[in-house]
Amino acid sequence: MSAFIEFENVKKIYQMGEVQIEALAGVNFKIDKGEFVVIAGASGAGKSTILNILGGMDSCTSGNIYVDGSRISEYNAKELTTYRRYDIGFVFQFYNLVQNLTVVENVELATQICKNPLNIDETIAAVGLQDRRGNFPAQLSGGEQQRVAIARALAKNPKLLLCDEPTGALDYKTGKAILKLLQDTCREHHMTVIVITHNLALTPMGDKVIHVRNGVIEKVDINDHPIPVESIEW
Amino acid sequence: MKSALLKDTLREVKKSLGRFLSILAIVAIGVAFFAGVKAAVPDMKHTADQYFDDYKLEDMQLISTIGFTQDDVDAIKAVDGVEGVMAVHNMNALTIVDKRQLVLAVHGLPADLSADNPDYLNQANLLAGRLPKHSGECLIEQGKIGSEINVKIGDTIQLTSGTNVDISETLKTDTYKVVGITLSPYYLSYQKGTTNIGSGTINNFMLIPDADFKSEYFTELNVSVKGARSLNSYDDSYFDIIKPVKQRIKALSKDRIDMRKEEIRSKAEAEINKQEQLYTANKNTFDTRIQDAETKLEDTRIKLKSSKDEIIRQRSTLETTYQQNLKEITSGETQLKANMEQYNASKQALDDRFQNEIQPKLIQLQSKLGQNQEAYHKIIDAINNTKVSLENAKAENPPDEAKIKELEKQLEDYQNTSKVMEKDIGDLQNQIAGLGKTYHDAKAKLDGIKAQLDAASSALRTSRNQLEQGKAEASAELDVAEAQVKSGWKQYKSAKGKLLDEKTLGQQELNNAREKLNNAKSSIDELAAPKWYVLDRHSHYSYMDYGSAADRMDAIAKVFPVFFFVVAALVCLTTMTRMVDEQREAIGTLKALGYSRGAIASKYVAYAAAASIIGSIVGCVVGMIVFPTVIFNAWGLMYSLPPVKLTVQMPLAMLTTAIAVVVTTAAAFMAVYKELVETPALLMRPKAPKNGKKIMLERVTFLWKHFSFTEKVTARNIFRYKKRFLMTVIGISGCTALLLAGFGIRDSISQVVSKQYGSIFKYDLSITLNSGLSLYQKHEALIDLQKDKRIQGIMPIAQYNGNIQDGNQDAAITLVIPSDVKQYRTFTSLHERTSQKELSLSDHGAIITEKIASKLHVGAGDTIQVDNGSGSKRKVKIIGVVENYIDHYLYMSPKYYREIFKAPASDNVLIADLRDDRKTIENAVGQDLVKRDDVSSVVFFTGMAESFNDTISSLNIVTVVLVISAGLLAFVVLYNLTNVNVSERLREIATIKVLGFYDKEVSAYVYRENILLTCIGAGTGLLLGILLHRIIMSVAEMDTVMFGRNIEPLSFLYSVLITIGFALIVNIAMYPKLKKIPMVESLKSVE
Repeated sequence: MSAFIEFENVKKIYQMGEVQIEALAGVNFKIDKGEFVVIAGASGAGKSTILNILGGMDSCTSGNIYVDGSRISEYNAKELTTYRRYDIGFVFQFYNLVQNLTVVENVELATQICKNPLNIDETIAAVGLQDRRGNFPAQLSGGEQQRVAIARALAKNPKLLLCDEPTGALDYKTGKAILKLLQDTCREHHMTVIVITHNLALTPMGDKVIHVRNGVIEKVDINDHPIPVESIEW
Repeated sequence: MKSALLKDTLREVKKSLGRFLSILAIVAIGVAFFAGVKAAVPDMKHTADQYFDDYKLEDMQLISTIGFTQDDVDAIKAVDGVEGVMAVHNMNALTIVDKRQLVLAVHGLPADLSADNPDYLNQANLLAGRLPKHSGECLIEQGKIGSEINVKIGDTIQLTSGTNVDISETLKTDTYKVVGITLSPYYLSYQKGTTNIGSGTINNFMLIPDADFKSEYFTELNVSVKGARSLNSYDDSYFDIIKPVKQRIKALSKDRIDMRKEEIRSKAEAEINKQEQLYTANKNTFDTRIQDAETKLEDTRIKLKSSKDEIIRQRSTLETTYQQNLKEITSGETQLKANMEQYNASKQALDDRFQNEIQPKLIQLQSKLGQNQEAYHKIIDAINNTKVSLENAKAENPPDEAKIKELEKQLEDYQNTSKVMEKDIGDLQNQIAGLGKTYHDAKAKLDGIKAQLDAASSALRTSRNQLEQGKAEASAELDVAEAQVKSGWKQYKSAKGKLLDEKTLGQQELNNAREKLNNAKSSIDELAAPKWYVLDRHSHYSYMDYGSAADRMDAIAKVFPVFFFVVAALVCLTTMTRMVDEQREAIGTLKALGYSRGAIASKYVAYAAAASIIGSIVGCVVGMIVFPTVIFNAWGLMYSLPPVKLTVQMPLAMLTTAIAVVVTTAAAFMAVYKELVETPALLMRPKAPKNGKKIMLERVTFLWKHFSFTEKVTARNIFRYKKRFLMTVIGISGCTALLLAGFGIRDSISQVVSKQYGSIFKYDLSITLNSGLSLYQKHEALIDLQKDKRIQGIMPIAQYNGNIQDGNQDAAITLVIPSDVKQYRTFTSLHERTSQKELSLSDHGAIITEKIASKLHVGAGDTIQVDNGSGSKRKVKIIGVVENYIDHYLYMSPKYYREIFKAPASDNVLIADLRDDRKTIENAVGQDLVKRDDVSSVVFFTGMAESFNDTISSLNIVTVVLVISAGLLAFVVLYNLTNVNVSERLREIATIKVLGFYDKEVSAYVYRENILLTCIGAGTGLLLGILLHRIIMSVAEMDTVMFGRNIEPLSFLYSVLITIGFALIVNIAMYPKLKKIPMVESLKSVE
């Protein structure tokens, strides 16, 4: 059986005027279903590019990408949109909530366009925001906002949850709570979760840790016994 | 400004060219509109004034009830300040061109026609040909839309006076050769005023040598004032120069009038005496004529009566004779019948006798005869036998004598017996014959009688037939005679009716004339009091009409551009706010580097100032050329003027630019100032996004619940950005309002004709009768036209060109006095406009039309002064105001008119409705009517409707200008809105893209707001448009025309659709930009 996600010699070259910048220089890795994957690397290593391409926000220059048996590297813009719509859940570093919508509405924004969303109330309860349902983002703390973002991503019932530096804008404690939420989601819903971080301290919590460096995969560690996030200190 | 900052500003402009251009564009549009429309008015006035100066329009005109003498002219020339005096004559006359009767204003030209002659004023603006040099030559006005006159140089014009006075008493010749086509500064307007001849409206003017006028008195003096020409006559300073001269002339007039007072009075008296004599002569003629006619009629009556009697007499004679003859015949018949009966009885008796008596006897006799004859024959046989036996016995030898003897004896016996028997037979035979003879004789006698009776019967029958036939013939003859008499009666009766009409109408006319004469006599002092009218340009129709047109434009200029300025300010404010928001960091950095607030703000202020200055210059240049030209030409279609002379109006340009620059830079400063008060540290940090918050609508739970998710988002967004909301709603509503006003103008104007000649005047044509007709002739004309199968209905009305006055305002008005108020309802609908309530013409007051009522600020219950055209001014009470669009009318019932003006209204117009108003039929009817002697002019409303439509079609240009402006406005506003909306919500849009919204859904997410705002704006715009339309209509109206106030439903639809169309175009244009937003934006930190 082939892997849930597979990158085969994926390259991404940006044309900046006359200069070509190779963001990805042939990336290969595999991710299985239900894995909690941490993609780690320094700034500019190419981890965000991987996420963008995997998330269908960008396309690769060459190589093949398979997600759940589909070759998404062949997708056109519209197919990519559909892919994002039904298969991907995003959690952004800066939450990217719509300021003008309440918590419920921000979740609704995502669920109204997908095929079989999860129950909104349950999802919000799952991230622990049942009491803040009617609040606007500005009335929430950073951690709460990120929970909303996670709820928004989860409610879509995606195949894949992509998180870009989910703790980047949060303090230590809140960040930890968010990571725990993600880890629990992965375990409980058996969802494939990919977290991008430059914080190497987080790597022990992943089932699989992909180290990116200068556009290539430096190494892939597999933790047979990932550590619960509570016991990680950084 | 430091050079680095300057560079920064320049780069900023280059980088955000779209933003810069949008500010520039809105400023340019606003400025162009404001400055352009504003500049149009001075340009209009300047062009006209220049024209007045070039062709020396009079500064003052003097009119007198008694004319002017050469002495008057000299006296005025001597007045201080007077430059030149043109003393000429004028009159109104009729002519027929292309079968159409036209009213011409005929003005005299002085002998010296050199342009520098100070006494040659109101100079002809010769377009073609030459000036008239000799008697019988004329200049004619160039045809203008609505008053086309198809006359070329070389044509001749035949003039008639249109009154009882022959034109030869006024002019030396009535035939004029056209030697030139001209315009005159005296007549700018398409409307040249009214008159009491022909159709009542002056169509064109004509200039002839003044020497052609016979009268020794000048009818008008045109005066020019020294130094007046150097001033713009639409300025007050012009009147400052005119006023003292006017005063001096007025003072002079008193002396001049006194000198001629007595002369005038005696003249007036002579005129009245002349009229009196004329009246008496007319009355005598009339009386004699009526008397003659009556005598003749009476003769006829007597003759007819005797004829009738004769017939009756003859009829009775005929009957008597007939009866007599009939009686004779009947008695003959009775006699005959008796005889016949007698005959029949005799015949019966004879037959009976024959049957009962003669026949049995005959049979008896016959049988007896037979027996006797038999016996006789036996005897004869016996004789013969005996003879034989005797012979035998004789011949026996021996003869047995005894036997012989015996035999002989026997024979003798026999013979005796036979003799007896013979005799018996003979007797019998005689008896039988006798009996037959008797019968036959009786029968023959009866037959004779029968023949006699038959002859008598046939004779009687013949006489009877003859009698009947004779009677029928005589009777038929009498019937014919009777029919003749009957038709004679009929003729007599109709003649009698006619005579009665003629008599009553003639009497009435005489009474009217008497009344008029009495009035004239009693008011001779009033009539004789001469008066000079010294009129400056305030009383000059064209000058005032044109001036007010320009002022109306000025009013529009005040209303319109406010829109554009408000929108420009809002566009600028939102744009600059967005720009400043985007550059918080830069501002913070500059602040941290130690630049002063002023220096930092100057960048943005300079940016806005640059955009607005360039925009203003572009706007001023374009606007001040385009708008005055368009507007001038639009009005120019109604005025005869040379091409527009654009003036450089620096103060206006400077002012407009200043306003525009101040507004935009203030907006820019306000935007940047908010940021500048914050500390650099705060500035360098991303600005907290505007918080979401519950909007009012959410409190209305039952409504909010029904909103779909996206609708909620849209609703919140709209209310979150109030500035944008305001800008868009004002901008879009402005756009819709302009469109609606534009379409509305068209609707209102096109409705004018259909309403006036469709639902108000329900008749098709108006026939003006010859003014010289007597009441009876008018009556005859009416009767005659009633017979025309093509005419469905016709009725006479009295129509006078009068004047109406209230306070110091006055206006020309048409007085209409229908002969039959009830019948008039089927011809004209007198109803209030708003309530559509039908008003009835009562005998207690007059009904007035809407436009003039509102102009004079009068309504039901008010009293106004009305002049019925013959100089008598009376107070008239108004009882109602009715809908009307073209011209002004005052309706009065005949009774009320008589009560007010102390004289009955004399019908002079027939209004008629055609059964079929197709053009061909109209033409045929028109031609037939014009041929009649009693008809002076015929006006078809279709023709009037056409010419009116032509005249006002010029306003369509206004519509085009409005639509173009609306489009520009919509584009700028919507482009700006969308632009700001998109750039401000870049992250949000990127996020929803990442969430998997398809392109269409993304654009719908953004555009729903635009569409909703467009709809709100369009809705508001409709209300605003109605208002705007009303303002434009009321200011753009001509004096004698009221435009409709309603807008067709379709126009509302079009305005909204076009607005939405503009919005769609902008949205479509923005679509690629939306599509191009990179999703990676969502990953970036908050700006």
